Amino acid sequence: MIVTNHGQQQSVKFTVDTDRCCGCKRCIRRCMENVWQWDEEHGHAYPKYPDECVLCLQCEMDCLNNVIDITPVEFLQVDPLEYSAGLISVEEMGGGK
Amino acid sequence: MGSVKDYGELYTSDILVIGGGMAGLVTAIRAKENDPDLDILVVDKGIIGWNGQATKAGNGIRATSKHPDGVMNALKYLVHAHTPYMNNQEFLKRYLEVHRDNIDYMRHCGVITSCDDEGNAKPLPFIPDALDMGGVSIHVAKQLRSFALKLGIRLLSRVNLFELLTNGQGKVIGAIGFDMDHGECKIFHAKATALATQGCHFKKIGLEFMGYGTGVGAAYRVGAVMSNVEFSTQVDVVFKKTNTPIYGGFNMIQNKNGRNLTDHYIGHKEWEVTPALVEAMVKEVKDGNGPLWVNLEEPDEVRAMIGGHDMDETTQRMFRDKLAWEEHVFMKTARTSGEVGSKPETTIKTVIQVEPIKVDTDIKTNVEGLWAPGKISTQGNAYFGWTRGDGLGNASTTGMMAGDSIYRYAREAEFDEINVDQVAALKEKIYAPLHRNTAHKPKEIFDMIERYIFDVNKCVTKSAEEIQKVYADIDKMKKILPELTAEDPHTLSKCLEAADTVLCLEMIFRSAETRTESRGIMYPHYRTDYPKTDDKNWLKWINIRQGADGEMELFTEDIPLWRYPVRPEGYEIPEGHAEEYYV
Repeated sequence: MIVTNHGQQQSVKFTVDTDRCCGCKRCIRRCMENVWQWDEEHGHAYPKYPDECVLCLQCEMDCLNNVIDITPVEFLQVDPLEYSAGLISVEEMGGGK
Repeated sequence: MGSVKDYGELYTSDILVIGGGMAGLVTAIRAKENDPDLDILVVDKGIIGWNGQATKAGNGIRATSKHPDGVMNALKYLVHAHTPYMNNQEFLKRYLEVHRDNIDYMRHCGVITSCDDEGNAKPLPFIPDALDMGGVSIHVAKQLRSFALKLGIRLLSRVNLFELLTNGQGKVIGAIGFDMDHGECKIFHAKATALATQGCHFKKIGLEFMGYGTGVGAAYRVGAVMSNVEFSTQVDVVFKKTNTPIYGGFNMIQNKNGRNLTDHYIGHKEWEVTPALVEAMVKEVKDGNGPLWVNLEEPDEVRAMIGGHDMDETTQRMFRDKLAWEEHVFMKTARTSGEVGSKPETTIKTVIQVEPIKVDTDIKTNVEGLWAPGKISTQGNAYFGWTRGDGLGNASTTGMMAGDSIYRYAREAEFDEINVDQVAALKEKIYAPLHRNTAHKPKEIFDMIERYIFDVNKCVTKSAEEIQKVYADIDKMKKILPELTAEDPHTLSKCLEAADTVLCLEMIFRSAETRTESRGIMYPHYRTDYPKTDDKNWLKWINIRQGADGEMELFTEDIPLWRYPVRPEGYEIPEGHAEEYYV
């Protein structure tokens, strides 16, 4: 399963090998932002709310079967210095457009 | 009118602790050790032991030095260090006395630290005989969880609480919220309540932690006073490529022509990222002198001390488990972005955090029956010392202080009857977003707020003009909030969190508008239209409460420096007061 989000600070790609999810739910236990939920029908965890991810990667580290791969795609969409200097407008920003 | 149980599942305990992070668990443990007969329930929106800031911070804990002058040495340092003379020095003195046993108590609770076999921590080298520090495991919350369970403390995970229940006299007697998996309403009835829900941390990412101000909002709505909210923003200099901090590299910033910004604009090396440096960085970029960059091949003394690679060995602050996590994050970052190199481009990252509940030396709020340990009250208690890497020490020490006070109260108190009408009204308010059907989602609000992180003019170098622009934004957000629509427990939480985050944002700027001066180094308050520190007029705390009409009300309070040992040079006791310390 591949899930992506697009935030104003970062964009992230989650690659989850759901077939190999052993159901330990450590990702759900670990995530302070409630990104991970359990899919009852298919019997695996998945990032239901990727927009909430803060890129701490602790779910990935805790995953018992090593099936989670989180890749930051972009780290900073907007340079705060350019934004504050008036060189970028709100319209040019991602995420909340 | 039915019974309370018609509205949700009812839980009863002598003490209710909301928030099962480090501060909440220590409050519960300390109270239970003081009186094992008390029934104590800790509730958290996540899984207790794996939730809370301690699961991410974990890079050190401090204790006041056991040197005979340790308390006063630390007090003098802290009053000058960050936000000069704003401290409540009576609170700080009491805090530092309890803080002396901080690491020892954590060890007693089964927390793994880097102390030697006799329990000795390392002295903090740059403040002699004032503060000691030790490394602490990143699994500190899990270790406290085990200890709490052994004592018979009850833990309830995955329940998110948003409002406090009160009796007819305004005393807090419980709380209401819902479980995060099924959305079922949960109602809590207690003799005493501790709110340890962290502050409001706006969209902090990476090796950071978030907070949404839901505890702040709940306390505000039952009449709790907030304080010092204007000191809420701080800046890191970061690698532009990865948005991660260049520890200690802020004096080494150069423009595209190789001109050093610290030398040119400030004239001396700083130990923090100051508003003056941030202003200079924006100016250089605006003038077309970017990109800004640092030469890591030639570290100065500040970089060498703060950003040294052997920090864990020399300071004993970092444990291997914390380092393993950081290494993992950096490795993944590097894999995507490539190495930052030795002459990386640099920019800034603003941190905004609101932790304003005003408490006394027992960590008790002005509201009967309500305590507020941990980060939620670090601005409010006018301590300010949390800013330099002792969030965990603050959590455990204020937890100890709260636990020593709340157990006495709970032991003597009776249960007050729950007002069913109040439960019904609060339940309706909490669940309202589920019954709407609009296109407005909470992300709309969070994206608007996140833009403040990019906006130096609003968050770092404030002015009356910029503050008015923020008010316009807040008005816009307040119009959206009643329209927010949720479809499940998660999005319902987000809707409610968005409302309290906007409330916290408003508190920052209302306070910032009122304080017509500039003050502080860490978490400074800086006004471009009032750039000087004004001790004559502003040795005052700015407090906030909800007025009788429901509107935000601000009022100032003279800092009683006539009762304190540390004062500004030339300080004169105001008329109507007499010397109370040096008598």
